[in-house]
Amino acid sequence: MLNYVQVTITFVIALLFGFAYYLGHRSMQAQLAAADPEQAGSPLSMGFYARFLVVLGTLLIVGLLGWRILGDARAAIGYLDAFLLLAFLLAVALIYLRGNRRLAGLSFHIVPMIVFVLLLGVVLELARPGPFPYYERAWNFVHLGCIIVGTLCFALACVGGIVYLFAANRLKTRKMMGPVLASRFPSLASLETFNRWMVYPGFFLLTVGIAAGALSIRNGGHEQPRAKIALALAAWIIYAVLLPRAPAFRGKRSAWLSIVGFGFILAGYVAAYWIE
Amino acid sequence: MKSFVPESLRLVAVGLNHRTAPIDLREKIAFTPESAAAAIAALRAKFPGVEVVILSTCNRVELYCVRPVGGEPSADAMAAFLADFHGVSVDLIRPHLYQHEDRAVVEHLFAVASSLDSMVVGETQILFQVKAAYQCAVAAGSAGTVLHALFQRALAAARDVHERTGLSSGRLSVASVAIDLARAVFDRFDDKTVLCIGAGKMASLMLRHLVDLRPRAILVANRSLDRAQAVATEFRGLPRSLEDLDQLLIAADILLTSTGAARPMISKERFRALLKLRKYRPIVMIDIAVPRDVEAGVGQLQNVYLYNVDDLEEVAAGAREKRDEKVSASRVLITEHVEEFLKWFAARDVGPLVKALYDRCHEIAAGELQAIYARQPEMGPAEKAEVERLAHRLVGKILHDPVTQLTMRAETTARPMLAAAVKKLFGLE
Repeated sequence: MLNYVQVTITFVIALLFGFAYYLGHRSMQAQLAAADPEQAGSPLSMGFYARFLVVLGTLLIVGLLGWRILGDARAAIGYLDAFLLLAFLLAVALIYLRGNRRLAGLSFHIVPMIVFVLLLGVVLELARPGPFPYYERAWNFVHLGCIIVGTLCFALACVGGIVYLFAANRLKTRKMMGPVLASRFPSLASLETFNRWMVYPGFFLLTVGIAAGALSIRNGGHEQPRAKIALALAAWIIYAVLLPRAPAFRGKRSAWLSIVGFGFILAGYVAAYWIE
Repeated sequence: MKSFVPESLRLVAVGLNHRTAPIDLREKIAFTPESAAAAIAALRAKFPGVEVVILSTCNRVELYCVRPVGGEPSADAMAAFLADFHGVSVDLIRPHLYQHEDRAVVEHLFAVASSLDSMVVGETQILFQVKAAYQCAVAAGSAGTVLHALFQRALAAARDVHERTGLSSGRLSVASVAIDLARAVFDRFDDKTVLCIGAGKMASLMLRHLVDLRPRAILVANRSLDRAQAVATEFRGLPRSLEDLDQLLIAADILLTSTGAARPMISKERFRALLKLRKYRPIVMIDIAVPRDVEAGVGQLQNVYLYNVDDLEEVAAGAREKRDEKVSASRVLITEHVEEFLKWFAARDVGPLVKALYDRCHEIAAGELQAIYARQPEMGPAEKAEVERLAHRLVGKILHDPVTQLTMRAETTARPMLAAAVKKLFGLE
């Protein structure tokens, strides 16, 4: 059943994160304007209000998930649950990366991904409310768990890829150099390493998730839309073919691979509703 | 009758710099020490007796001349010479040229030597470059009394500015910008190789900063292996021959180039062929040579981050804004030094004329006194002394304003006119 209150709360949480991003961006601009360009750049702070809103949003996600799962006394999850869980995991990753010296500059850029995931959850929930119909199969839980965590990995890799392309472009075009660049983004090497660390486990989880999904269907689970299966397999094949060629897939190519791969995963979610 | 007045001289400077001309043009008219000496000889052959200094750095090419007022070379002639010497059209460089005369030349040179006109304000390398340009002129015999004084005072002013304002402390140097760029690309350096092509002063300065990153290896490549060895020893690096350039480029993660080569030694095609052998590893290239050592197209290749001296302008410009206080203090100091030089220049130029003027007037006064003494033989020594003091004071008071005008305005265009008028009015010709 579609719960409009929960969907509305999800939308408000997305707005909250969006506002946090706006405040954080303004705070960073102010810090950059006041910074001494002769000093080596250190990661910029999001500012108190942006941090507060991120923590508040994360707590609201936890509360909403608890309400949806415990309040309805059900063990099944639907698309809104899946995307709320994904948003929560992204928020945890943000908070964790904030404390990482090399990747602190990346954490702030996860916020738009959280907003995107929440809004996608709202849209998909409105299109197809309610829990998945095949929760009773054990393989299905493995499938869902692997796909959600795998999607988290690909989402983070996608954020890393976008930030990499942006930073590399700024470096190539000399639009932003020196301490200013170092203050806003991690080094390209850190971003590339981060992408690798996200894509490899993501690929493993995608493999297990697809295999578990296939077993789930074979053991009596519901048939899945062919487009969804095709897109998931396409994402898997892209990674399977390109990952062994890692040396050639450095830098921008690696970043694009992360973005395109995540695009296929998302397209798989969307295909489940609109293509079939 | 020999003239009491020395020939009136004019200071002229013509040049272009990183603000007025792109690097493509600057490298076309840049001078090496050898070509600068040849250019000085050529200019003096064309305009005998002219004093000239050529200042050529990676950011600027400037000709400083001292010539008689109304004489040659004019600024246009200097621009034409610059173009001819390098075989480029004068129309190509004219839009990018600036020219200064007299006071503006002094102000400009003092600001240049003090690094206020530099891409990186506060850098001290320009001081050595100005000194080298001056020494080159001295060796070529083209620095006369005026340019000797001008350049020596410019160097003294620059040292004074650095000492008293601390302009060079904590500056955003070319090297620190290079390090920031390397940090924007790499996250660690203990597995990185720094390749330095060229073993000049700039290369040494850059390496001095880059060793702080503690790279795995420093390779120094130079045409002269002895020089490469000397620099490599200083930084615990390894000397390499330029004949192995391809192998060195495959190994390098950070490349510094600052050779005096007339043509780029790393072309796009050459480096493209090495990408696969490098396994597409990122590379940061800092090319501070003018003319450039690395073709601009190399920067378009995958995972190549290429920067030349012009690319540092954006970063340095940001730093300049933050250095306003020190820069203001430096400008005040420079103005003091400029005034001091101009006083000397004026005194040097009109000094003999002023002396001649006083001598002439005192001569007239002495003649009149002798006439009075002849008419008044009863005058005693005390009275004579009193009259002589009166005559002396009168000469001093009458000449005070004209002499003040002559010396105060001596650096302006009115100088020759005033000098000619004084000569004519007082019969000093």
